[in-house]
Amino acid sequence: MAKHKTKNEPFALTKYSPDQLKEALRKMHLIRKFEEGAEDSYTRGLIHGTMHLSIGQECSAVGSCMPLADDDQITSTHRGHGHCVAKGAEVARMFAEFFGKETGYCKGRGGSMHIADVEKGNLGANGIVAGGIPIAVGAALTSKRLNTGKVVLCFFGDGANNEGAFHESLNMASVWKLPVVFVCENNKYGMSTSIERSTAVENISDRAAGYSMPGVSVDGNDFNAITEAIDTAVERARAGEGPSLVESLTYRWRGHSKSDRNRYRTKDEISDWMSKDPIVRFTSFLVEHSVLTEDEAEAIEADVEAEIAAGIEFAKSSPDPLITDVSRDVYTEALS
Amino acid sequence: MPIEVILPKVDMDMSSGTIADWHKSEGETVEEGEALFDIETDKATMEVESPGTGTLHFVTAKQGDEVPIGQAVAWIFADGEEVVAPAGATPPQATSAPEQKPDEVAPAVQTEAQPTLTNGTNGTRATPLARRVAKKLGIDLSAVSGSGPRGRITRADVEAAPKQADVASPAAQVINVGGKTGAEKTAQELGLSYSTVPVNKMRSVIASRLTESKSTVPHFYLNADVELDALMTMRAQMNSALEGSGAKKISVNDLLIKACAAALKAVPEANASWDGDTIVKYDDAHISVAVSIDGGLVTPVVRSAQSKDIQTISAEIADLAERAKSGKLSSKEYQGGSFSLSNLGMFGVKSFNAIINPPESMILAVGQGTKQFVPDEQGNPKLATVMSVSLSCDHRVVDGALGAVWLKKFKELVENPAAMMLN
Amino acid sequence: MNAPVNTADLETVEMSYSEAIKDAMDIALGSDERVILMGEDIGVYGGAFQVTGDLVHKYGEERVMDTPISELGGAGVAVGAALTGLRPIFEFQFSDFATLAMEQIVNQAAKVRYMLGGEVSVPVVMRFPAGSGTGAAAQHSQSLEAWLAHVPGLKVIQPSTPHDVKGMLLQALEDPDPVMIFEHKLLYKTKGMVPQGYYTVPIGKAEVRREGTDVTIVATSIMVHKSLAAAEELQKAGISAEVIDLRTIRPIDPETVLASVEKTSRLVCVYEGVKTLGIGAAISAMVAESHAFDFLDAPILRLGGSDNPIPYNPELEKASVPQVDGIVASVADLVKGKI
Repeated sequence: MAKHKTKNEPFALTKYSPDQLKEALRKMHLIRKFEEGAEDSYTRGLIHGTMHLSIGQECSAVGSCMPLADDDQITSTHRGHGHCVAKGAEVARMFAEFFGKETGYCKGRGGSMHIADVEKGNLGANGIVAGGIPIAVGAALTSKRLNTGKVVLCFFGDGANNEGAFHESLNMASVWKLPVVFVCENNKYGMSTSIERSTAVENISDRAAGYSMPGVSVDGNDFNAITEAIDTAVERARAGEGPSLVESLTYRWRGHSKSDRNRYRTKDEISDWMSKDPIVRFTSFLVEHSVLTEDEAEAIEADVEAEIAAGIEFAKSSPDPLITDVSRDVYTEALS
Repeated sequence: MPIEVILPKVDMDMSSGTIADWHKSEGETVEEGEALFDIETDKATMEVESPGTGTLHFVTAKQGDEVPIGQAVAWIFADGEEVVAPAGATPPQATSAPEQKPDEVAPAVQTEAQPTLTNGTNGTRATPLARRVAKKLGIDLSAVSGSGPRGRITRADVEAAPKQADVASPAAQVINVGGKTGAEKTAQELGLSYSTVPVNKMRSVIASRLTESKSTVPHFYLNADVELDALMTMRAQMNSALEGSGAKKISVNDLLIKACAAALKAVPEANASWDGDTIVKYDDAHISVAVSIDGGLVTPVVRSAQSKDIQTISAEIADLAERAKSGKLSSKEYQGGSFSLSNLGMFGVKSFNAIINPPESMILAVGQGTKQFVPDEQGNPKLATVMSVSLSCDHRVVDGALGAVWLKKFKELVENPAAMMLN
Repeated sequence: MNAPVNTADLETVEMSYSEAIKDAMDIALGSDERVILMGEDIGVYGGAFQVTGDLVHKYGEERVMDTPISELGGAGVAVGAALTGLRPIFEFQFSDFATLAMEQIVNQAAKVRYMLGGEVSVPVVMRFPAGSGTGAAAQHSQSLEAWLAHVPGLKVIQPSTPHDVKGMLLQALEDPDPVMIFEHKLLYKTKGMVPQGYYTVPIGKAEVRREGTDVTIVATSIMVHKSLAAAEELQKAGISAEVIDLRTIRPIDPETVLASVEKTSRLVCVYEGVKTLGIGAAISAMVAESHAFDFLDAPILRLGGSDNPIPYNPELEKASVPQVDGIVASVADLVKGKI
């Protein structure tokens, strides 16, 4: 698709149709309200375990997935609910999974950290930090070996960039020139340890040079910035030129998990970021450029609210797995 | 909620107990800590205190009932509490004493580490396959001797068992003492006048252990006469020195115990026990002393007697005997002996042969000391106090010569008692 | 490649264990474009144990891939590739290096299918040269198969002959789930008759290598051979030992083992992995809690590696794992009722 970009025209407007942009806004709302709905259900005792919310990072997730074709693939993280929705997951089945039900994406076996929808190209969220990075490289290897033309988007956080697997994976992807885009969503804190205290480079994208691939840092909460950066990387991969590292700067409003007391950051910092809500920012942008009206924006939000409510109801009324099925699906053919 | 009164475990290797006596009855008030009932164990009667204060109800076990440990026998209801039968307030599966099967009896006197097993093995070591084959052939495992380690019975042993029975005497098969002899039946048939006494725990333990001893331990007997005069002189001197101190007098028996211990120290090979594929040699002399008690016999142990002075031994024996008679010995106190002494001299018995207490290897039976004329060095008659002793030995551990060496040493020590006081 | 083959119809040829592995990979690479080999130095170097040999010349570097020294990343790439349509065979240079990749093997390969509710499979094969006897000392001599056999979701095999290693590797490639193959280094040069062409040997089925009546010896990998040698010796002493080659340790084949124990009434487990908490414990417990328990006429014996890292000194090294003499002595004692 040739880009007809006039000077100063925002990237997203040149690249995506109004319908696509409205869908992007809808997805951001879907993520926000999904997270809030999950959080609410959790506090009511309806959800087991814990959850890692990505409220505040919706633009980064949706923006990163915009340049992807339907059969391109992603790997995601424990904070990946947004990625799942951005890649087309249905919130009802996500809620069902969170409620541990048989109708969930993982039939209640995986929970919030392992949502996957392989048919839609979502190879799965991972509970191990950097666990999905080598897997993404493997998927890119398949794409190259079988010539499928698929590009793999590998999401991970700032914490992962210090894991051995990150370094090994970037190195191999570069050596073998694989069609993978490494997307680091830097929200300033691996659990509680800041980037400054844990990482030997100032920008995570600086590490790209160590693996001979392009590296760029962008404002992940700026829809234009993130989509443009990812798009460049995806095109490069699709052209067979190898991997890239995109650092998407963003921020999470909630703690790491439900047990986080936020002792490592100040209330001021959190409220400051909350005042720069990426969804509000994107809505203003779209309204300003007449992609939609304020009313339409509100209508989208209301629509999403209804979808969330229906999803929660679906989850609540779905059946629990049978205890006798506890060992089902460990192997592909049942061992005799 | 009413407080449950259970049949408590009060002894090692105890799986059940018999209610000997109730101190309180249905409807009576009880205080926490007050004596509630007595349990009869193998060697003693133990008092059980009330676990709470209130009124006693639903007493489900009566005197003479045998109750599994942990089972409730009564409940205590607090003041004002509604007296309703709690779950489980039905009479326990009590078997009254006369029908006790000896193989369910806790072998409390046995020093061997064979606990009462409640799993149907009855303490018999047999492989699963051996059990299976025995069951199929209708063979009683307790009549089979095991060739495996620690006496383990294997399939081969079971298959060889019928042949064993041909060779051994029929009586050897009846180690299981539960067998009736038919005495009562005969008495009834002949119209003899008689009364019966139920075989209690202690009686049945004595019966089974000593039958087992007599029929499985190869006994032989060594006899000797020992002159007591020097010992008695020393004793008189000791007691005169103790005069006025309030200490207990030293008895001849105390000194004989000391002599046995010293002799075992001098002849350590005889201070041992047979254990299947090993012989256990004890480092110390643990002397089991036979004490006659009401209805039976107990053998409390004087531990490491070789290193105790005569006064300590004397006091210990007195204490052990007293507690044995009042049924207050703990099981540890009558287990783990390495040698036994049995003295029937006070009953006028001249001499006798005692039955070994397994797993000990020897028992010394002491008779009455009587004045007799014996030749002196010149061959002239002199009057001496002579005591006949008989040493029973387990030939698996103690051969004739070894037994004789021990007996000689014992006699030397008794006739030259000063040597006993040395290390 | 799926139709079962009757090996009786195939010509056999003598080849070594490592040649048999190469043969299997050659057949797979040649018939299925999804198959790729990954590992350190498996290309022109031919593999640390010369197993891959000249395969790179035949199939090229894109099918026979030298990886950087990145066991964790490399194993993960294999998992991702298997997840998305390839059939990778990942070679670890030494089984000891599995430790570096445990995250991807245990947390990912073994669990992705289950965590995703059965939506996907991970048909990855990983090969591990294992065991002691080469003087490579503690970090290059371990037998860690029991670690992996402990993890639901994996299959773990230990073929002991050239015939079996070729057939089981080809079977592993048919298996939609992760298969871990532990190859004892000292077996690489052993020879045996191997059918030519494609055939498979089932995973999950043990094999009776020698029939006997007095005792069942269940052994794995190189210990199968030592047990067979021991059985020959024992026969001279009038003891008839049945030797079972377990072949697969997850899942263990209960039928073959239990039937044998019911017949002989005695069981000895012989394996190189450390005895404590090893595969022998699993076999013993399986027998003890089964109907075969009623047929035991003696305690169950385990002969395994001693509780120390493998030493460098050759005599100490030998003393750290079961040897033929020790097997003979222990089995004889057991049968004679001394234990």
